This record gives sequence, C-alpha cells and structure tokens, in this order.
Amino acid sequence: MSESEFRWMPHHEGAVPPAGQGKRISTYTVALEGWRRGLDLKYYSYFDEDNLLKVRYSLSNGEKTHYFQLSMGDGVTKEAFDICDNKETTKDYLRNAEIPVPVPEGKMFDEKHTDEDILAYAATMNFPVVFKPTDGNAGNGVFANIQTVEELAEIIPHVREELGFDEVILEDYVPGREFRIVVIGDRVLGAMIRRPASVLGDGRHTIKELIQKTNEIRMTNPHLTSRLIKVDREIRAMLQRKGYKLSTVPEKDERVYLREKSNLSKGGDAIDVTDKLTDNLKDIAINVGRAIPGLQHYGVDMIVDEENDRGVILEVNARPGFGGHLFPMEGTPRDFAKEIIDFYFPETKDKERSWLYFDFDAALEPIKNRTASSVDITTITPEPLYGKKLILSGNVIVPGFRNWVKQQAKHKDLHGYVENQEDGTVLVIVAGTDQLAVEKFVKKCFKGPDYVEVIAIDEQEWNKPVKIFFEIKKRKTDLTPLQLEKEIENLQQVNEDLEKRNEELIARYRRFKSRKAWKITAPLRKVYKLITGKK
Amino acid sequence: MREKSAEWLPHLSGEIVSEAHGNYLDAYVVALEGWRRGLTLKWHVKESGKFPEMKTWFVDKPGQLFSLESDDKTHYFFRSRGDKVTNEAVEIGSDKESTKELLQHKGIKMPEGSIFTKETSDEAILRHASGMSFPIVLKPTDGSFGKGVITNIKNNDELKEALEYVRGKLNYSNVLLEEYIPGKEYRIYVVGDKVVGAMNRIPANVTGDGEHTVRSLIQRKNGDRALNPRLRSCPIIIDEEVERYLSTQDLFLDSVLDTGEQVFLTEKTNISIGGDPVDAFDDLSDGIKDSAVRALQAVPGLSHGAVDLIVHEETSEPYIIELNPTANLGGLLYPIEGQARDIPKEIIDYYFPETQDALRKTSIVYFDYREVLTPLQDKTAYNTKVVQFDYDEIHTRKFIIHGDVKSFVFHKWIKSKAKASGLHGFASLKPDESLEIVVAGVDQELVHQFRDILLENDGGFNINEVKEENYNETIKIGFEIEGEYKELLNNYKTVQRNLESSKKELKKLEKQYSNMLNSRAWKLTRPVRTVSGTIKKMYQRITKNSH
Repeated sequence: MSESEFRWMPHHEGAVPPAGQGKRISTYTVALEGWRRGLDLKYYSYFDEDNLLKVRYSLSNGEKTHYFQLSMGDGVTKEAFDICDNKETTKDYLRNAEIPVPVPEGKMFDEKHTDEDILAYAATMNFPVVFKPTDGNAGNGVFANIQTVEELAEIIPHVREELGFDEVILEDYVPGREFRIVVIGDRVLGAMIRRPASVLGDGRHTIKELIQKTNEIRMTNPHLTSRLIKVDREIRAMLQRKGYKLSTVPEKDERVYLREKSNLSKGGDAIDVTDKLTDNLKDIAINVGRAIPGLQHYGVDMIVDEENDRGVILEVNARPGFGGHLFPMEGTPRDFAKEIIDFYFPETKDKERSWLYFDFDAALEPIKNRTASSVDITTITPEPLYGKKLILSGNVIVPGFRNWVKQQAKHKDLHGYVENQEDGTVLVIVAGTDQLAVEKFVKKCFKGPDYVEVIAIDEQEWNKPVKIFFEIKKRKTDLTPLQLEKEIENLQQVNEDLEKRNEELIARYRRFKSRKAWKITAPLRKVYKLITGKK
Repeated sequence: MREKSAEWLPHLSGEIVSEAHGNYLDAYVVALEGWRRGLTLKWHVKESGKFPEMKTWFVDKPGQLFSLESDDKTHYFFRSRGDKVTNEAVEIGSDKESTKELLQHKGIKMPEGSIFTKETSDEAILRHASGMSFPIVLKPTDGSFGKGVITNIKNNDELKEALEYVRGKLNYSNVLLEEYIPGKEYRIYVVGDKVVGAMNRIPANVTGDGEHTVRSLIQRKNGDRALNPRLRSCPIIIDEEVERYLSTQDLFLDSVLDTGEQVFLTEKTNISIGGDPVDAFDDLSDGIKDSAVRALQAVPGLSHGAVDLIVHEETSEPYIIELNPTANLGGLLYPIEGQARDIPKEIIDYYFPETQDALRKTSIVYFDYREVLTPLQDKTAYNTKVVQFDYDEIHTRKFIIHGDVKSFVFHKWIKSKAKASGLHGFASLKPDESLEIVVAGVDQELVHQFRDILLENDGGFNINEVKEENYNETIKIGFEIEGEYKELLNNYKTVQRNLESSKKELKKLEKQYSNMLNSRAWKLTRPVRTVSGTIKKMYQRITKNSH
C-alpha cells in the first residue's frame, strides 16, 4: 500500500480546472463526460429561496435535453427528491415497501414534543442510540453512538434549541462501517467508505511530517485540494489520548488516526470498497429504488455489518457527491460520470470520447458574479486526440515567440499551450484530431520565425487530456479572484505548517544549546567562583 | 473650452462605457439599451446563432456580436448594425461604383469620379484628369482613417505630386479621382425614414488662451480627449505633417496663440487622427435630411446606417460621399460640442417598437462588459446570456461605515449579505478609512433593510457608525468590492513571500541543527580547551551586568 501519490483515471488526469474541484466536482465531471461525447452543454444559474446561487447545467443532443443539478438528472422526480430530503419520510417509504428495506428502529419527534417525551421514549430503547435532525445536511447535528440517558439529555436541547432543528429522530445505533453506495436503476455502480483523517507511518518521519506529506498528496487530488488536514485542538487531543505527539515517529505501516469523524472536509479519505459488496447488500441498495417512486438513480448510506452480511439504510441521497468515487485516495476509481451519461444518453454509449476539456473557470466567472445567467459551452466533435509534448531549446525565450506559436496552432485548429520554462526552454503541449496537422506544426516550430533560433526539439508522445483551444500558459497573477483566494488559502496552510516546523526546530535547537551551555559553563562556574571569591 | 457646450447622455456616462473601447463601444451601447428594456441579451462568437451567415469582420475577439430577444423574436447585431440590414446592402455600401449606380438612379448626386487600378500608370491618370475640372480629390479605394486622402488638388502639377505620394510612397496603387465639392461635410445617421443624428467632423484644431504654445495646447487637448469615450484612443499626433500645415499659416509648434484664436492642424476631418465630432443635427435643412433618407433607402435592405455627405457651399446641394451600414456611433454620442443624440435608443425602437415605452428609470444600471465576455475569450463558450434585468424601477442607498472596515473578511461578509438580499452595488474604501457601501435593488424595503443588517452585524465586526445617504449615480449589476482583486493579489504576494522565507529559514535551521549534531562531540570537549580564552569574556560580561 503506497501513499506516495494519487492515481487518476487517465481521461481525468489534469482535466479538472480549479472551478471544478471540491464541491463542484460532480457538476463539472458529469457535464464534461457529456460534452466529450459531442453533446451541447449549457451552464446556468439558479437561485434558491435564500438567494444563494446554484450552478446547474443541461445537456442536449439536439433532439432531447436533460437537466442536471450536481450528480442528479431530471430522471429523478421532485417527489422522489422531497422524500429523500426528509429522513423520517424516507424511512417510512423503506419500511412500508413491498419488499421492506431494513432501517434502524426509532421514532420521529417534532416541536409539539417536549424533551421529556423524547427521554421517555429513550427509556424503552436499548443504548447506544443515535439522535439526529430529519433534514440535516453533511452530518450537521448528527450524534451517533450515544451511550447513556444522561448523555442524551444534554444532546437533545443542544440539537433542538441551539442548532434549531424542529424535527428530530431518535433511533437505534447500528454498529458497522458506513458504506456510500450508488445505484442506477437496478444496478449497483459502486461503494466507498470514508476513513477519518490519518497518516501512514514509514518508520522514518514524524507525524507532523507525515501530515505535511499527506497534504501534499491531497493537493493533487481534485476532490480534496482545499480539504487539507489542519492540525487543531481535536487532533492534538486525539494524539494525546494515544500517548503520541506530533513529533512521534510511527512505525512502518502503522496507521495513526487523527480524528474520530470521517468527514472528507476535515481531512478524511475516500476509499473504494465496491468489491466488498455482497449480493445481499446490493439487493438492499437496489430495493431502496423500488421503495421510493420516481427515484431512478441515487446514493444510499448503509451501515454494513460485514461479518453477518447485514445492511441497514441510514439515509438516501438523490444527488450523491461523486468526488469520493471518482477520485478515491485508495482503491479503484469508479467512473460514475460515464454511467450517468450512459443512462441519459444511451445512444452515445459507444461513441468515441474526446480527451479535451474546457476552461470551467472562465465559463463560470460571469455566472458566479451574477453578471451572466447562462453560458453555452462550445460543442466539439468527439474524436480521438493525437498529442505531442515539445521542449524547444535554443534562443527561444523571445518576446512574441509564444504568441507566434499560438497563432500557428490556432491556424491548424490545434489545442494545448505554450509556456516559458525557468531553464530557458519553451514547453509546448499540442494536440489535435488530425495527426498530420500536429506533425506539420512541430516542423513549423522547429523552423520558427526569423527572430528565434530553435536549436533542438525534444519530442514526446502526449497521451493526457488537453484543454480546448491554444493558450499561452497563464501566470499566477492572471488568476480569477476566486482562484486566487483558494491559492492563498492553500499557501497559507503550507506556510503555517512550515512556520510551526521552524518553531519546533528553533525550540529543539535552544533546548540543545542550553543543555550544552550548561555543560560548557559548568567548569567555568567553578573558575568564576575562584576569581570573585563569592560563594 | 472642451465642454463649452457639450451635452452627453447621462445614461451612457463615461463610467458606464469605460470597458468598451473603439468598435466595442458601438456594440455595447446598443446592447445595453436593449438589455435595459428587459430584452434578453446574449453575446456570441462568430460560430454561434445566425452569425455564420452574417457579414462581419475582425470578430476574433468577443464583444461585437450580440443578440436581443423578446418573447416572439430574436435580432442579431454586429456592432451598431442589426440583421434588418441585409448582407447585400452591406456589400453595396462597401462598393462605391454600385452605390453610385443606385443613387444616380434615384437622382441623388455623388461627386463625379473614376477609379484606377494598379495597371493604370500615373501618366494615364494625369491624361484622364485633364478632362476633369479642377479642383479634384485623390483617395485610395482601400484606405482607411483618411490615410492618403488628398483634397483640393488645384492643378496638374499638384496632382502629379499627390499621385507620387499616394501611389508611390504610401503604396496605395488603387485610387479614386473625384471632383472636389467645396462645402461642409456631415455624417448623418438614418434609421428607417428618420434622421436621428448628425455631426460635422472638424479637422484637428486648438484654440489659444494667450499663454500656451501650440504644442502644449495640443497636449492639453489630448488630455481632454482621453476623457471622451469616443476620442480616448484618438489623440492628435504631432508629426511632420502637422508642422508643415502650421508653417503654411506662418505658425510653429512653439507659437503662442491669442485668446480665442482657433488654429487647424490638418485639413483632414477624420476623428481617428484628431478631428472633432460636433453635433450638427439642428444645422440640417429638411431638404438635406430628406436627401440623406432617400440615399439610404436607395439601397435595398439598408434600413439604418450613416450617410456621409457634403453640402455644396454655393448651391447648397448635397453630394453623397459614402454610405456606411456599420457606422461608429461614438461621435454622435460623445460630441465635443453640441448635444448627444441617442442613436442606440432609435435603433432599438426600430427593432423592438413594442418596447418603446419601457420606463427609463433603470437607465443608471449597466453590466460588467469585460466579465460577461470571459467565457467567450478563447471560445470556451459559444455565447453567454447576461442576467436579465426586466424591471421598471431600481432603488438605491448609500451607507458609510466607520470602524474596523479594512479587513478582507469584513468585505466578504458585506458581499455575502448583499447577495443574500439579492442586492447589487459595491463597497469602496475611502481615503478617510471609512467604507462606502452602495446597494441597489428592485425591492425598496430590502434596500433600506440593509442598514439593519449592517447594524445587526452578525459577523461580530467592530463597526462604530453607520450613516445613510442618497445615491443617484450608476449601478453595475453584481456586487463588487473595489480594490478587492488588488488586495487579493497583494495578499497572495505576501503569503508567497512568507512561504519563501519560511522555506529558507527551514533550510537554514536544518543545516544549523545537523551541523551542531555533527560537531557535538568536538564541542563538548571545547570548554576544556578554551577555558582560558573564555574566562576573560565571561568575566567582562558578568561584571558589566552587575553594574
């Protein structure tokens, strides 16, 4: 098991621009898949009741158009969405279905019930229990594994008064691992689990250093770029309980957990566990779709008791996030974006898929800033790409040269970019559907314009995705405000880590020095006493 | 002197059009007019919508192609020209011979003239000219910006010289020889059967104040021109030609002009080389207006556009010089003298007459031209739709906050609050360290409630005082923190610098540390070896401390 790098599906490698990372990863990857098959893609804004901007999109093949939000398409009805939005209604449907789906035993309470009513019901239950709101998001207000009535008595007012949830559920705590399973129709696509933030020891580095290394890997995963492990009180406390410090060097292959909760945003990892799904578990997941009318594809949170092959459904999600499945830190990546497009546009299933991608940041900028309400992305013809990576050396860093390269590429309908390198060479990535055009372009570059002397071209195959159209690679100062903000946040994080390390080093250095100073001055102190005659 | 009598349209202020330069200005002002009436506005690339069939040019950069859409129809525009002007009309407009044919047919005069291609020698042209009556005008057929146009050529010798200059030196081989019509030249804009604007173009000139030299007057005038949306990229250029022209008036660049003395710097009237647009709508007789309309209508499918004509100074008869279906509107909107004429309004009235009565109370509102075009740069997208603005009225309010108002977090909070209330506007840091917030919205109550939101201050910021004022200036949709990007960039640079120094520090420390570890054994024995040397130092330090 190696954590030295994050593995992409090849057609996604480097093809997720900043705007498509993190929370917009489904919005980008599903749309990208359709666009790569030659469908017309439109992004548009939608404002919810709180005036918050939601980016939605539609895909069209000219005859039919489908509308999407996040990973959910219009094949899921509003009715189905509303059922899933409320955990208690969901449970009702699952429990009362023709083929009942196992859910935790429990009861719902609303504002008419007093805290005492809830506690009275709790007295009839076997602890541990779970207390949660019916419509909370992202684990907000969820308290699992409550061991005692006393504990529960403290939690109830917190959730109801402080967090302000009116409808709450008290139910059995089911032990096991929580699987996130995605289903389309009567087919289970895959499953993942989330692991709390952790580091894997190598017998050489301290926990602190391992966190830093892990964060460096996380920054290369488009789903986790801004979800780094931040050392806070919780992590320190957790380590302390185990008798560890940040400076502890864990043994090789020892996994050190840093938190209890497994939220990805707090540094957790997504791990693919599709192969762990038994037929029984798959059936349970599929039966959820049969129990809720109008739910053609969905995700479920299932507590799985692997030993006894038992599964209980905690929650159904009409638009599950695909990020953890597409970009897991461990296990096989699963291309659910492909599955969704296969489902809505089955006629494009066997179509050649282009490896181009588009500038999602540029497309979103006016939508995010509420200047534009829709943007029609340029439609492409889905054909395979033929690509080259070129390194031009000689007297090549000359004003105007990059622009010249861009014009040559544009003229031949080629994609890619040109970038000056720090070592004085010029890097060109070029790709196009016409192999001959690419080769002609390479020759043209070798010849160069009069004012440039290209001495050598290092030429390699390029088999990775390429951004549509040809650009002169931007410098950081050309980033959009949102990109800049993100970049600043990341840099700040890295810097904080470094500063802390420095402080530690200084402290160690001082400790060492003072120890030494003491030793050095030891004989001197004697001499000093002799000279001054003091006692 | 600059604005002695210029009157621009408040709803097209310099600030509103500040992002739209040159040809982009024409597109933006027409698009804006339609958008403000609640029409759906989309910006396109050449491959989108009806544009592949439409005659356009130099449209690699987005911002010149747009469509306006009502419930039952869509119209497409290239700069100031809409799709009610046919491609044939555009072609005829760019071809003098066919224009002349059509005009003559309707009994409208153009100056007599002949075209010569590069096959014709200068001598042959001279021979032809001997059959014409001087003075005459020589111009290249494919020149632009008045380059190579020689007017008022009085005799054969001058023509010979002019030919050598234009065909030889400037290398324009195809030329037009035309009779010279003495008189005032007008550019008249016609929509349908109505003249909606007219201007004179006056050659580059300066007016003295009894104090400044011609040179510094030119510089000052260029400063003024920079503030005019039409003229900002068209300064007067001081070159040999200007000096030569001055010398014919016994003047030099260093001459000081008397107060009120107006001096011309060239004969050419082109705005792009320093000419002044001057409103001339009220100068035109009904007869001239009628001729302009008839000239435009002579070309089938030319439903709106500009007519350039000269009114003969003796006969008062109009001679059409050119028809321009894709005319610049800038001079008519931002004259140096006279009244601006609202051509965009007339164009939209013509295409969408049902919107004529749309209230103009939202005319302070505009959208970020540069930002809305971002997805079209490099053709990431085919088209973008500007957020619809279908409202009759907009309410505005200004709040001035004192306290801890400089933090980025605070600015972001304000922005999120404005957005949550669906308000537009901006926040701007003032030199006195107060923060000015302007909000605008359709719902008056929401606009006023923003004060409560600020006072409620659920972000727990340190705000001392919130003052409230009226605001009547322009509103760009969206919510902008002025200087936000600059601030972000600075932040970014600082963080980057910190990171670099942290890295260096780390390297240094690690080296130091490992050095120390390595030399530990040696260092432990050091005190013994250096005891005598250290004693003095220690002693000095100790006694110093005890004083």
